[in-house]
Amino acid sequence: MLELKDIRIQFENNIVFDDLSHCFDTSSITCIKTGVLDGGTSLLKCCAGIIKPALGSVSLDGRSIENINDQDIFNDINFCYESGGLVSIFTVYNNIALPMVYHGKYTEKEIRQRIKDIAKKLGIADLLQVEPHQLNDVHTRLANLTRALVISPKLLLVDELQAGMSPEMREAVLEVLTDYQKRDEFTLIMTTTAGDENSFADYRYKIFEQHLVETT
Amino acid sequence: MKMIIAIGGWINGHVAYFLDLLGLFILTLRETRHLFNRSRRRIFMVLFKRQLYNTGIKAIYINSLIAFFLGMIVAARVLVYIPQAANYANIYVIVVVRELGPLISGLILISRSATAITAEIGHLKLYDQFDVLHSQRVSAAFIFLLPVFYSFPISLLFMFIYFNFVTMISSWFFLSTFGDSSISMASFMEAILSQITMLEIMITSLKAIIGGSLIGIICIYFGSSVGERFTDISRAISKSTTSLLLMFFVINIGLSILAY
Repeated sequence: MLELKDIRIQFENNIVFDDLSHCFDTSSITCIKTGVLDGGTSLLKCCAGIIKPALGSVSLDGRSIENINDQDIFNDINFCYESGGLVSIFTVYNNIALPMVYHGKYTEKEIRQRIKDIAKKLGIADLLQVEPHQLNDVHTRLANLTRALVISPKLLLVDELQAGMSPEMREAVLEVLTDYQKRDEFTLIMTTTAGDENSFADYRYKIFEQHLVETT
Repeated sequence: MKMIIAIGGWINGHVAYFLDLLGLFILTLRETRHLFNRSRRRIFMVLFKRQLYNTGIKAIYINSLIAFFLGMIVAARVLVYIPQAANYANIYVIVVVRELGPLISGLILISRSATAITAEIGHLKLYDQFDVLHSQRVSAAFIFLLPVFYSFPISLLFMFIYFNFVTMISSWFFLSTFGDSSISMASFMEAILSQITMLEIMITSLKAIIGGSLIGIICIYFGSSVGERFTDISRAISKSTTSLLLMFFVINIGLSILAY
């Protein structure tokens, strides 16, 4: 379970979330509808431990994110960037494989097989040997997602995955994502924008006045 | 009063700079512990070999060209005063092996490789790609700093040796063509090599190790100081090159004065 307690996220004088407390159930899917500059990405990054809240705490299964060591954070939490998220000097394949080799998560053979399988399902198998600058936005997000699904964390945070996708692609990608979610039972928190699909979610929220408000 | 504040600010800035470099050096030593991990060592070796190739092997052509012409010029000048090629060896060791070889090799490393590293690191910083590594809990210092720190001194040492070798060949060629044609390449090289003492080898190695390591640390320092503006990258390259040239000249001249 991911728990946010009295969270304030602030950038200089701009407070995006204040006194936010929320629990995300284990193995649930939550969609958070975001607008422009309302802090959706910052909220996900805070949950991932990438940025620290100005006040409050984030805990995963009772352990504060700040006290979890790097190896456990890598195994348990993964964040998929809305843009970028890949290191430009490595190929797509190496971007996906590097963290796994670094943390010794799988053997090289296992890594190769897992990347190949998931990349094929997400439709980017042909793009594994290209460099990030050769990808468009959608493919960059799919590369991020491939890395996350290969790692198979307990908590997966996905930032605006669906933007720019055709309806067919969106359906196919979400099917893969929800299939993996059911199989691996990870907690999925995804930000969405207007026009994105969210019917597959167990919980739906929107950001309103520095808080999360439930929607239908 | 304004002058005192300005001087104080200048001193403060430079002290902070040296402390930052020291911090980066300590970080490098700390990150070296990752090399005891088999899978991380594999990553390091790929990046280390790539860096050695880019820094050392790819510089062979420019190294060769400059060494070739330098050998010719030194031989041409010396020939005027020392017509006998066999007496050339002492001058060659003092001028080329001790001073010009290390200096020019260092300049090639700085202008080719250090500037490229500063630009690369600056680019990664500008586009928040270190954050990406941080989000995967991968140490950016291990991926970028360590390979450069260990490959630069090794590349520099091999560049010294190669530079001296090519200069020797081109000097012999010039001397035997326009001067004393009786001396063979083997005896010419033997005359020079017999003048190279343990002291020369030690000081040259020190110049490579200290100079190479510092070049690696400083170019990465300036690359990582890039902020949010694209123009910060060119500024970083300019500052980095200035610092590196100054540092390398000071180390070379300082070690030479101390030793010789």
